[in-house]
Amino acid sequence: MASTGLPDGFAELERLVDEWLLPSMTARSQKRQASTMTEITNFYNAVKPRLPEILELLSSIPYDDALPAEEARLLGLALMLAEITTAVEWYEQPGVVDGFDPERFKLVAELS
Amino acid sequence: MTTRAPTNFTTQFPELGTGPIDVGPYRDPDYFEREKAAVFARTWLVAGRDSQIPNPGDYFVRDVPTFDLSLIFVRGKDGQIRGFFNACRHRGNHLCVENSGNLRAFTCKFHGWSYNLHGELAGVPDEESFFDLNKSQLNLIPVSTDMWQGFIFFNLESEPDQSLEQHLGEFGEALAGYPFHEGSARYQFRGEIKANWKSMVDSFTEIYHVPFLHKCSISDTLAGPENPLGRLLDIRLYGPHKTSSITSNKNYKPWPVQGIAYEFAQSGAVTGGQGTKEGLPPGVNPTKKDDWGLDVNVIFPTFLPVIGPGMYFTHQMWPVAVDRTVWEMTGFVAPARTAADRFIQEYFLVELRDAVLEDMNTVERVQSSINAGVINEFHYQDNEIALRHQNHVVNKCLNTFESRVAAE
Repeated sequence: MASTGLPDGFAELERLVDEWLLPSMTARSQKRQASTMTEITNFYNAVKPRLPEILELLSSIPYDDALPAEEARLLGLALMLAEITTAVEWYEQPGVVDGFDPERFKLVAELS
Repeated sequence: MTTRAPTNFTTQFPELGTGPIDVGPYRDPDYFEREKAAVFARTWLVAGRDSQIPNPGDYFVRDVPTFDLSLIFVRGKDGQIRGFFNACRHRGNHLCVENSGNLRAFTCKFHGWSYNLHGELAGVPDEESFFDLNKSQLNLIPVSTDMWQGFIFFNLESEPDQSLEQHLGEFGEALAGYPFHEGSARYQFRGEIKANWKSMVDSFTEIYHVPFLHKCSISDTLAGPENPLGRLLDIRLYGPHKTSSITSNKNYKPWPVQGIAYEFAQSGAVTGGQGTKEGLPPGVNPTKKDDWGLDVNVIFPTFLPVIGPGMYFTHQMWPVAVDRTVWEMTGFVAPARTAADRFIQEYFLVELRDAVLEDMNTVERVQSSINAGVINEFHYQDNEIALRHQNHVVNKCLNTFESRVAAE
């Protein structure tokens, strides 16, 4: 299995894995800040229509150490969608409109 | 549809007045030193939660930026949580240099002095080379520690004027029983803001700003067409503490991804605030109205549990200078049971983070206007009563403490 593999039915999203699968909320936030609005919108348009199916699948998978690699990657893409959604739906730009510098408000303890 | 009528809160508390508020306490370094002495050095402050240290030997370090102090909170073999100053009795080196962990004993990395989990000095390398060392007098210095609803409080006074229970008073009773313990998974943001600590508290305790500052994000959630000017549902004052109760828009139409998240969010499992409004303690949603959104509580001086149905998080401010404040925003959520829960946690966490990023430039700009002497007074309307109350309580604390010291 390639390291970009996703569960059955989600092969069309595998092209996004290399670029958008990141290990932490801080890394996802930095990726958002460093991306253009075109890149962010393309990602949103690819993943958001599949979100109900993604959550349908993920809601049957316990969140523990035994999370299979393919489902973990799919969750990773969903977490990136969580990160960039407000850029698309609220702000129409990568960062918060007139927002405080996120580099000055750091996540010091992350959800695992 | 009717819109929310004008409120009439402030005049019910004549001691708060209705006039402009002098900005001196927000920019005067002498006033700040008086606050440190009268408030922060002798009031119960929050260190963290019991769920951070569930097992014997678990500890965390609490930095107190206001006094450049480091404290340790540890769970003993007897299950009790104790607090100590993070300082070896030999020469004062910090015993714990990691933020958290699990230990069988504290051992100083400087010269190897060791203490048990109850803080008793257990071992001194080369003890015979010391002169008249009385080990029983050299235990770790305890810090006054007590618990409320799983929150660990400390007081830098060795014999506090009030017990924690007295300090919390009716507020502590009114909120007791909220299921704080269900949020055992924790996240925390931290930043240093160039503003007075009271400005930080102020910015979270009124929603007059919500329809304006948050118009692209959370305005329609909290202050929809029935409350377009962000009027409060209620304010409850409990001595120095308070609850600002805030509306929600019952006809709120979710954002696209938010709507999908709500469909999959299980009640109480996540931060999304979609949990039940039933069975909450009397102090939560105090009016028991169904258009309740959330309560912003202030446990005086700087601990703000923000409580909604099925979610809570806290803001805490640590003053460093008159115009510098360390701000911590800490969330407590139920551990994700499924991989979908984990997405939902993250989605609502991003919403919260982005909404507060909308707030913080304003407090720094306010500070620059008052530091420069351009602005010398604040004008508060009825729905900014929490700000007027905070200012009043701080002034009263300073006067009470200073009169007592003068009389001694």
